[in-house]
Amino acid sequence: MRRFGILLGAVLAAPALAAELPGPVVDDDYMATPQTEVALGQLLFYDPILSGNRNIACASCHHPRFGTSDGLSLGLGEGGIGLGPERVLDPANTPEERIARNAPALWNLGATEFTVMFHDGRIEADPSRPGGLRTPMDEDMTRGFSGVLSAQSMFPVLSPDEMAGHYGENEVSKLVRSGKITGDGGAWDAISKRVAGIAEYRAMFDAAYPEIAQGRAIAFTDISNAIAAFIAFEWRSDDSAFDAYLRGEAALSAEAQAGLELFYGEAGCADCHAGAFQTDHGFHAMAVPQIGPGKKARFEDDFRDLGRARVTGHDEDRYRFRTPSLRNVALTAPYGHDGAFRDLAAFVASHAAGTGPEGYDRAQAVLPELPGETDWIVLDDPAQSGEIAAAYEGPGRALDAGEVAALVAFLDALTGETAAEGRLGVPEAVPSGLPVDK
Amino acid sequence: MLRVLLVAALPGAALAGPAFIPGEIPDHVYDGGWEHFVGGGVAVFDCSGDGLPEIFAAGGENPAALFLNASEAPGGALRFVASDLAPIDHVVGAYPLDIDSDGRLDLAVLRVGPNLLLKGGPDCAFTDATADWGLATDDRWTTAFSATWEPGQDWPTLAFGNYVDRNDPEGPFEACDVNQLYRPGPEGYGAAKLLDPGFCPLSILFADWRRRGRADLWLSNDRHYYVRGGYEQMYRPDEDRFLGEADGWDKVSIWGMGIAARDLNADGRPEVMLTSMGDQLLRFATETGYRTAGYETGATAHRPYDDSDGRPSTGWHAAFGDVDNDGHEDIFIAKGNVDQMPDLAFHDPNNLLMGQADGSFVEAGGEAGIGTKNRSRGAALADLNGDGLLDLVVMNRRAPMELWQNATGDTGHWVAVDPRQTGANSQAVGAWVELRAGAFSEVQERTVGGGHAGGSAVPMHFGLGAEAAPEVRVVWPDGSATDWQAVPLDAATVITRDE
Ligand code: HEC
Ligand code: HEC
Repeated sequence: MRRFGILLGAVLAAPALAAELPGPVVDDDYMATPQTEVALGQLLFYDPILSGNRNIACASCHHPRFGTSDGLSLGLGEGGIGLGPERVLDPANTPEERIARNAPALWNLGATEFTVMFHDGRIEADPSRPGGLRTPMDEDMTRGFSGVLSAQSMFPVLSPDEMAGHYGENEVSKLVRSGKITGDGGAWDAISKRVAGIAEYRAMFDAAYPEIAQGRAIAFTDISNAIAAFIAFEWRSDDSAFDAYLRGEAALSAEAQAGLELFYGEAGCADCHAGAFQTDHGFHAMAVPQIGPGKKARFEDDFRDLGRARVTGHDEDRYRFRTPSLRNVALTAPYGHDGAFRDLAAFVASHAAGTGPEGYDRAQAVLPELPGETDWIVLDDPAQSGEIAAAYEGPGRALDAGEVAALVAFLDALTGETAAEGRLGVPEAVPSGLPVDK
Repeated sequence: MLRVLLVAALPGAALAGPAFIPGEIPDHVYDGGWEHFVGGGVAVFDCSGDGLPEIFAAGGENPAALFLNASEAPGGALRFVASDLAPIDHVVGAYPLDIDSDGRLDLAVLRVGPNLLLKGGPDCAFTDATADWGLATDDRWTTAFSATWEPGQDWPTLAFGNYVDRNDPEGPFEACDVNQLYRPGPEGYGAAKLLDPGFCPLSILFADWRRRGRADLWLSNDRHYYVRGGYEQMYRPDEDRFLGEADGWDKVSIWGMGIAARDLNADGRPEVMLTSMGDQLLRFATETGYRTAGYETGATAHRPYDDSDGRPSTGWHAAFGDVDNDGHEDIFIAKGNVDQMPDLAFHDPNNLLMGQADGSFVEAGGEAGIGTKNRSRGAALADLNGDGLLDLVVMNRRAPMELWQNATGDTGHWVAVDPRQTGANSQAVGAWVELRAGAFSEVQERTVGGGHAGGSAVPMHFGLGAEAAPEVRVVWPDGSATDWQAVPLDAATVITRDE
């Protein structure tokens, strides 16, 4: 085994790679995941009880059938029925807008190097801030979460479009819209009380957290900690062909090998997609065409998504988005922060060359029917699309068809079986008795 | 050559930017639950009779406070001391005005619960005159106030703007309460006339927007709670109706939090600054209606200007005033997150938009030292130490209030004009003060209302830049006018109308 590895290494050394290959992924790269927490987190992740109207679970947008995403460019949260590309409008509760961004996959988020969450990194580890974290709640952020992933899991439940629901629909949506989030009687408290009202959950919290068994009330941080443990355990993905290759256990197919050489070589992909998970966790403007409603508050009437600049307030961060990990990328179509491309090869070609909105084929988008949609407003506006194109900071290298195919073959080699299938899988039922999306 | 040099050496050339230094005031915080997410107004007015204004500050769940002005005039360090005001809780804000025309300023106090009319006495003593004056109160959540003297009336017509109807079981969204208009009668005010529909106003202002000789009531409404179907309202009291499209009133929907009015282009019609979430709206009055200023005017103040956060801002109190006396009106805007609205900036610096010669505005809050990032609410721009420079008081939710002394160098000339009447309406509310000085001219209307939950009753301040020969004319509330008369430069002048 060891000998084989050394041998392989010698063979590989032949092509001069611009970037160094990462070392293999090891157990120490990940956070610990106690099984009592994982088991609890699994049920919470699939349980619509966490949504204001009790109709949407985390899994509604992060489902293993769609590579822990939803198969859509831009999903429908509140006001949608069904899963993945079959998701349609609820005629009784039509949403005003699509979710502004593509639902990212959840692979390897238990690896401790993932400290920047969301396409714009609006939750990130930041030792200079109280609590060691920058979140949209700043110093009002509740304490008691286990890490960045847990803190992140506290936010989907607050989003009216994702899980909370709108206006006066339910007690959670009312609290959120009124600006009452933390503390007694805040939105997180209201959801925790719902969960605490279910005996089966209470028993599982007692088992997972000794303090709760001793009488402390269930807090939302306990819920999010359990979900984080589940995500970390369930979707750890480090058994792909590429992992076997890094461990010196097996060679890649010839085409994937050619792709690897491009990726870590001439094509310059690893400048940003660095490390064992193919991300520098940094932000770059890649001129992905902007579709959909844009990232904005209800009172804003533009359709822009300025990306990182919305978080930092720095103009130079306009249209920058976080470099995503490319693990299992073959399973997570569509691509880009707004899912503008259903086809991986098309994305890679445009991405490497920086063609941006120019020549973008709208048939690449996967969008559920939504009357009165405003999907193409930015694309149709030469000024805004021009700004996006001009911001491009990528390699700017037109790839030929063979190079694209090789890169896609390499990306295919990043798929890991165990996580793709799931370890615990989708539960048959959840303690609330609400329906589970299978 | 000589001429150029001369101009540069004159005051008003604004060599130095605006600068403020902290003044001394006891710790006071506006705080409380959801009902005090909004409010937090200050009333600025002289109740001690020494010519320097005091500050009445709402407290929400903390008792309201009255701070007495102990600064040395003119120009001494700002210093305010506590008074022994009897505790009043759940105060949202307050407006000073002389309700009974006895020559002393009274206070209309807005509360979560019954409102109060406090009658001003000597040495800042106040007595509750709500019942004496016949105001029938109730348990509403009042967030806005304005007053006008209707023609022929000795007592003001009072308007109270009410926010969400807390008793609506379907609320709080789409559950705006009605607003109330109180007209004086032989037995006092009595019961209110309801202004229906209400769209959750956070600021209302009687002003003669159309220069027809009578005030209309602008209600700036918060879409956050009316959600849909509402808009900014303009109520015409003498016709008992809301204006509509036929009157040139366009039904704009904003997250209205505060109103400031000032004529910026010497056409006699006041422009209006409306605070909101995201873009703040400076609207220019035209012959046919209002036009919102574009980004190039530089007054949208839509996100923190210190590059610390890309999320949009939340605006509250707005005030016009010429902070450096360069002859161009500036704008102060109080900013701050409602409480925990994660889509909006949490550390939202207050703005000081400096008016430029070309009519645009340039942000100077940071350099001026007043760009603090608390959850600011009410505020006042007023000369607190008699030196002709507008000082600043800012009320914060969940943080101590701030007092700022204007220490700007190289300022221009100024005058302050205080129109008075000897009979009813002692402060001449509804009067227009017209000022001309060389190439400079400006008109200002004396009003009660607007801002966010608080107002000032102080002499009307004009910055003149280099102009040194000011003349003033007052158009009294009944339309009669004084002649143009010279007024002393760099000084305050009381102009009294005899019966
Ligand atoms: C309605 C769809 C929807 C639901 C429901 C939803 N999410 Fe998401 N999730 C998204 C979208 C869209 C993003 C990206 C948002 C962005 O970047 O602005 C996201 C981002 C994330 C991320 C960040 C991943 C990364 O790499 O940055 C995590 C973790 C996550 N969601 C977990 C959850 C959990 C846990 C729940 C349930 C509590 C949940 N989501 C519910 C759509 C959804
Ligand atoms: C300058 C940094 C940079 C370089 C170089 C770069 N990428 Fe990316 N990549 C990004 C960023 C940032 C995104 C997200 C862009 C967005 O969504 O707007 C991204 C997204 C992707 C995605 C989509 C992933 C998903 O889940 O949506 C793929 C696939 C990808 N890159 C592959 C490549 C390949 C292959 C190369 C080399 C040809 C490459 N990248 C070069 C920064 C870079």
